[in-house]
Amino acid sequence: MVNEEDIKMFSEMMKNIFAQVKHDIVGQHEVIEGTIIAMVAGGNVLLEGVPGVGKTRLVRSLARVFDLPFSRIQFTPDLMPADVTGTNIISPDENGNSVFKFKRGPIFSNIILADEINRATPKTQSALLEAMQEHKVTVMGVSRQLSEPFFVLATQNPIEQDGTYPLPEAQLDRFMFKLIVTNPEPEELKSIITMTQKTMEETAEKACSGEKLLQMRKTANEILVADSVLDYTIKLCAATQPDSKYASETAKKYLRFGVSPRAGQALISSAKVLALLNGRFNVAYSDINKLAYPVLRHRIKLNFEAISSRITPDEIITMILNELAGKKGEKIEQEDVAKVSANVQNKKRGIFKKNK
Amino acid sequence: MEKLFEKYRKRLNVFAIFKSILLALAIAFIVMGITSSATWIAKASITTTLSLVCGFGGLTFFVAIFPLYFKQFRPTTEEVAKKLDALGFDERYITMYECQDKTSYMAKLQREDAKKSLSNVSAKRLKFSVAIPLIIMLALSVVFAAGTTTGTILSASNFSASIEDDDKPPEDKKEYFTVTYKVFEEGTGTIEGDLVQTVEKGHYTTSVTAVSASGYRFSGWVDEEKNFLANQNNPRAEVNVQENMTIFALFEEKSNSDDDDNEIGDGEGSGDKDPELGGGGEEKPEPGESQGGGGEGTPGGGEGQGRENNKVIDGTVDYKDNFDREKFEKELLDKDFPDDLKDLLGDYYGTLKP
Repeated sequence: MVNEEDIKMFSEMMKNIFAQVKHDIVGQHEVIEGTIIAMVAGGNVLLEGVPGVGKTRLVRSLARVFDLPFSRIQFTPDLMPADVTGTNIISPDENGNSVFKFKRGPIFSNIILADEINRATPKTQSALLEAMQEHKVTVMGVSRQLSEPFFVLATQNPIEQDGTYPLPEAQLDRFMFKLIVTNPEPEELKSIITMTQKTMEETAEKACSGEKLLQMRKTANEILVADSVLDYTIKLCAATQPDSKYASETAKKYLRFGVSPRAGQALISSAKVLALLNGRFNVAYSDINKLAYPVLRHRIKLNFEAISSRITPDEIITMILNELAGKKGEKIEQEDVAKVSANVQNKKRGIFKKNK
Repeated sequence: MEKLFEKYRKRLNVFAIFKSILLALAIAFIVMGITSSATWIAKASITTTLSLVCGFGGLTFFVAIFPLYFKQFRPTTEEVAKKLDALGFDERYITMYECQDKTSYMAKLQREDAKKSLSNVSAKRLKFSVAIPLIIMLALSVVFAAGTTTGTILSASNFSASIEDDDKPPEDKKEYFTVTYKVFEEGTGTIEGDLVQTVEKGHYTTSVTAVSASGYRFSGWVDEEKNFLANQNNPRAEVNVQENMTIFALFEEKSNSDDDDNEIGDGEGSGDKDPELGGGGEEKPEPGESQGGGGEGTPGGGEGQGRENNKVIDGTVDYKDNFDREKFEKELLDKDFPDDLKDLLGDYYGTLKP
């Protein structure tokens, strides 16, 4: 049962975590907030951004802040599943007999940085599936539980697509959030350059622990959700499914596939953390709307019309949210798309920034 | 929770009553329109129309307003909570309402948070709003009721009917004229038949006969100014009546030479001519006075100058003694005359010499 101490602890921990991460990361407030929300809610995060914007640094910094074991896996085309999960190797036992002994892979850690995850083959990428969803690894018929808390924080580069393997839907669906890491603003860049002249090492200090993180998750789970808010979340998910009877006009026009039930789970879990983070004890529609972008943008599959019209997933999410809010039928034409895109680029950077 | 929402509920109640009134009015106006249409079809009087329209309208209003308020617009606690949330309270109150039975620490915190947020919120922040369809419905119902009621009242007051009459061609109107027969000088004679007759325009009077008193003889038919009329037949009838008419029978004293009393002026007189009466038989009929067979002279002239009944039928043909009754009857029957005209002509020719 959650008590007053837990609420206070949640509030203090969050405050400390943000403060420490900001020692290493300049700007990117919404990316930081999104990553922390996902971690507290128990989700994995896919960070997408061009090289050098601080994706890896953010993950390393978070590992320091949470004081959790951290593994970095650099995904390459020749990376094998065993390189991720570990494998049985023949080694001598005490008696000198050769026996198979399981050599743990880098997945056996609490925070996994899957760097440039889309450069590995689908076979290797899928090695993460079980770990991401069930927090266990099965090798040679033997399942091994991963220690909690367990997170996969993956990065991918949206530009260099040569020699990459787009993540399959099953893999994408296991990421709670897809966060867009953008280039820093000039002022932020100035601070980054100044800061890294002193040292390139992360300076964030421990602000939380694995146990406390699990307790924070438990506390956030107690946040109340009204039926009407839950219904709204379900409607939102159903509205993205073009074949559903609840499909929005936007989904019918621009989507091949909508989101899975995991999206609904992710929305509610993360909305609870966001609500508590904002000092509220109930989930609001605004929480759902705010989190719709990082939760839904990688789960919806655009059809040819959307791709050829250069409509982004975030624009589609905006249209669906507008439809749900009663602002019916934004039939976005090419010029409107250009306007929307321009607005998106002018908005403040962060996780809730519209995907480009 | 009820206490917490009390002042907001009161305000929303006022809005609910107002909305109920608007919708009840809209329904009442529709009923008024339907009622006035029904009274128009039933051709009810203005008083009946107004009574029914106002009665049904008022009744509908009072019958509708209560169910509308209690079933439709009266705010429930949940609706009050949602209205408050819409002010920017992030679903605090709907959550509070739905989770009011929960006893967890988080639920308690949530309730406290909600109460705290509401402590300084004025009820005036809840703004009255009416759905546009309701306004449109009200406006249309007012127009419908006003239009149909006005139309019905105008129709009942024959306003519309008179307009319709004006649109009809003149020949469709039925006009009636009065033809009055009088003796020019009382005591000189009498007129037998209907002395005052009301006749439809273009139709015919029944025949009247001037009968002179003793010592007088029938001189002719004259108007008020003693001008002799074209048709001097006795009996006479007016055909194709086009105006109100007053016709006088003029009698004059018999002179010593008047041995024969020919009351109908059969030309047996002495032949003295009265210049005033236009004796001589060559007078033309006055324009417009021809009523179907005017004579060419004045009665009472001497032989050869007086009128014989069988001389003139249509003013141009002189039958004299050649009147062929059989031929006449055959022709008359062949004509497509109205029955009353045939009767009249039959009467007339009955007076002619065989």
